[in-house]
Amino acid sequence: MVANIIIGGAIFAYAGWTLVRHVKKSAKGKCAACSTADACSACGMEERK
Amino acid sequence: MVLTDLQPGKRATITNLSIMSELLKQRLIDMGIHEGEEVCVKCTMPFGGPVMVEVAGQCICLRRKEAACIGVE
Amino acid sequence: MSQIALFGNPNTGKTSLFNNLTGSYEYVGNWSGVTVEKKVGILRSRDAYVVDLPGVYSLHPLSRDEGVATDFLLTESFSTVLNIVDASQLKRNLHLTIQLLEFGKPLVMALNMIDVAERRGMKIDVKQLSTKLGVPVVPVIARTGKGMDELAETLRSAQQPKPLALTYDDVIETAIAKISRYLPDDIERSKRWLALQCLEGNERVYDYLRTKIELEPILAIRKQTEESIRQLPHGRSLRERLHHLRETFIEAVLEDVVVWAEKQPLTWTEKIDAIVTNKYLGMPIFLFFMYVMFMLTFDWLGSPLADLLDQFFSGPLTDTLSRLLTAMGASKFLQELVLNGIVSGVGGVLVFVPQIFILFFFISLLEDSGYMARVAMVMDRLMEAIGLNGKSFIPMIIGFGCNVPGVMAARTIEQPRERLLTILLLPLMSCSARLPVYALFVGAFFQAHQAEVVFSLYVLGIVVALLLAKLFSSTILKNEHSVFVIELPPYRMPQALTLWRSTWDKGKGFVRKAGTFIFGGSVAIWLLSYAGPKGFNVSMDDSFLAAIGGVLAPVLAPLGFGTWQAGAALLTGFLAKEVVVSTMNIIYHVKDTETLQGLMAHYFTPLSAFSFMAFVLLYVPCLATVATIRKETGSTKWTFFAIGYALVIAYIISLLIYEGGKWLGLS
Repeated sequence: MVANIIIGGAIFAYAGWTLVRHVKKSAKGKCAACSTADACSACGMEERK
Repeated sequence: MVLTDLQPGKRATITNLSIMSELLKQRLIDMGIHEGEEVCVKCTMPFGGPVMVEVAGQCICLRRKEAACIGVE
Repeated sequence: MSQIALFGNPNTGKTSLFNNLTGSYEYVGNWSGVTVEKKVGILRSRDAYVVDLPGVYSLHPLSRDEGVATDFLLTESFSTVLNIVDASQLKRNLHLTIQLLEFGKPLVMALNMIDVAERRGMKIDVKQLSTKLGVPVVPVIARTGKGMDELAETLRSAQQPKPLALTYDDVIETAIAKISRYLPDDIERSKRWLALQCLEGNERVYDYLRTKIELEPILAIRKQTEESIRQLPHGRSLRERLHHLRETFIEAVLEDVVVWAEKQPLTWTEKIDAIVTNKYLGMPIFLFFMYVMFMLTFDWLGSPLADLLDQFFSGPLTDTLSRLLTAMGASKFLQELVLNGIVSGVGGVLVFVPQIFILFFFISLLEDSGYMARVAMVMDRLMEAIGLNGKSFIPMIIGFGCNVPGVMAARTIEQPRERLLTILLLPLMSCSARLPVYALFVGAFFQAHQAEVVFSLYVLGIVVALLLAKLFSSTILKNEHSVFVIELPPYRMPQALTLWRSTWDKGKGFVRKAGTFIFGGSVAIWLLSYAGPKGFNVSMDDSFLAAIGGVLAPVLAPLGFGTWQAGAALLTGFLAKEVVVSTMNIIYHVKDTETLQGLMAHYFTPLSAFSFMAFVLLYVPCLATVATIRKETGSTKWTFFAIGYALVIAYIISLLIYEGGKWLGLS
C-alpha cells in the first residue's frame, strides 16, 4: 500500500512538473524538439549564466 | 551591354551599377560585385528565373531583372 | 570574465570555430544565415566567454540577423574581437576586418578555409598579412579544430592594435573630423568608427547616437559630403566611395600576401552545379530528392524499424512492467495508470523515433552539403510569382524539422514584408511532430501507399502556403519591391560526425520531450479519461475527457470526425502535436499501434482519416511556434492572425476533402 502511494505520488508529481515546465518554456518560444532549443536567445542564455 | 546579354561562360567587367536600387546595390557590393570586377554568367533558370554569376571565385545568384541593371563590358 | 566576440562574413565557419573553442555543439550548416541569434559559450580554458554572432558582410545591417551583430558592438562590452576570415574570399572578407579595426578593440584574425583557397590556386603569406594589418593572424581549420590551441593562446595575449594605416580621401577625412568634433567626449565607442558608420548611413548607429545627442548636424554633414563626392569625376555615392577606397587599400595589402598559382580547371562544385542547377533538371532533381526522402522515411526504412519498436513496447516491455507491478502489489489504479496511461501515451510516440531521425538526417544533409542555397535559387521563380523570394524557401525546409527554428531562420530575409509573410505561412510546413500522426493513420488506412499519402500531405501544406502567399501578398501584405540575392557556397562533402551530431541534436529533443512533456501529458490525459463527474474508474464515455472533447464534436462533424475522441485529441495537440497520438492511444485503450489501427477502423473511414490528417496539418501552430511568432513579429495582431487563418483554412480544406470525397463516392 505504501509503495502504491509513493509510486503514484512520484508519477503525478513528475507529470505535473513536466507539464508546468513545458507550458512555461513553450510560452517563451522554446520548443523541445527544435535545434535551437539550447541556443536561442530567449531561453538558452539565462540558463547558462 | 548588360549582364543578361552576356553569353553563359563568357567573362566581362562590371562597368555600371548606378541604376540599381540602393538596398540591392549595397548587398551586391558587400558580396563583391562592384565596378571593375570581372563576372562570368554560369547559368540561368527557366521562365525568367534568376541567374547565377561568378565573381572572384564566388557564385552568387540574383534575379534576371536585377542582373539587367548591371552594365558590363 | 572577459568576453570575446566572433565576427565574420556569412558562411565562413564562425559557429564551427565557436564549437571547437568552447566544446559546444551548436547548429552548423553550409549556407549563409545558419546563425541568426547570438550565442554565448565558455572557452575551454574556462577563462573567457565566447559570443557567436550572425555572419555579416559589413557592419551596416540590411537584415534582422545582421542587426544582431551591429547591436552587439554598440551595446555590449567585450575585450577582444575574433575575426574569422575565409581565405578563399580574402579580399571581400577584409572589408569587414577594416571596419572592425576602425572600431579599435584588440583583434585576432583566424584564417579559415586555406585548403579551399589552395585548391583555387591561392597561396597566402600569413606572416606578411599579419605585419601589414598589424594584428595577429592564426591559420585554422574550423571544421576539424586544427589550430585551436594556438588561437586560444593568441586570444589570451591580444593587444590593442596599432591604428589602421588607412586614410580616406580629403573630403571624407574632413567629414570624419567634423563629426568626431561634434560627438560628446564621454562616448564609449571609437569616435572615428562612429563617424565612419554615420557616413555609411548605418541606421543602427543613428539609433544609438539618437539616445545621446541631436542627430541633425551629423545628417547635414553626411548630406554635404555625399554631394561633394557626387561631384567627383566618378560620380559614385558616398557609400560606394568608401567601399572603393577600402578596396584600394586591401588590394595594396594583398599585393605581396597572395600569390596566384595555376588555377585548377573545373572544381567538382562546378560539375555538380552543372547538373543540379541545370535549367531544366533543377526542379525535377529537387522533387526527386524529396521523394526519396519520404520513401526512405515511410516505406523503405522507417516503417519496418518503427514496427520493430512497436513490437518491443507492446510485447516484452509491457509484460515485464505488468509482472513487476503485480509483484510489487501495485493497486489496480496504478497498474492502469502505468500500462494504459504512460506506456500507451509515451510508447505510442516513441515508436516513431526511427522515422523522425531519418527525416532529420536528410534535413541535415541538405544543410551541410551546400545544396540548400541552390534550392532557394531553383525555387525563386515560383516564389517570385506568389510574392515571396527564393530565400523564403530555406526557412520552410527547416520548418519540416520544427517550425520554431524555421520562424527564426526567416530573419535572413531582407524585406520586412516578405519576412512577415514567410513567418505567417511557416506553420503550414508539416513539422516532425505531426509525423507520428500521419504514421499512425497511414498505417491503419493506407497500408499500400504510405509514403505517397504522407507525401501528398506535405505537398498539401506547401501548396496551401503558396496559394495563401499569393492571396496575402496581393491583398493585405502588398510588396512594393522584392529582393533576392543569395550566395551559393561551394559544395562540401558532409562529414559523418557533423551529420550525425546535427541529426542527433535535432532528434534528441524529440526523445527528451517524450520523457518529459509527453509523459506528463499522458498522465494528465489518462486521469481525465479515468475520472468523470460521477467519480473514478467510470466508463470512458462518461469521463471528463469525453465531456471536454464532446463540446467540439458537433463542430467537427461536417469534416467526418465528429467524435469526442477526435475533439479531445485535437485540443491537446495545441500544446504539442505529438500529443494527438498519445491521446488517441490512451482513449482507445490499446497498448500497441497495431491494435489501435485496427480499432480506429470503427471510428474513421479512409476518407475521414485523410480529412483528419489534413486538419492536424493545418489547424493551429503549436504553443511554442505561436510564442516564437509573437516574438519574431513583435505583434500580437499578426500572431492572432496566424492562429485564426490557420483554423479557418484547416476547416475549409478538411470540409472540401470530406464532402468532396463523399460526393465522388469515396467514403
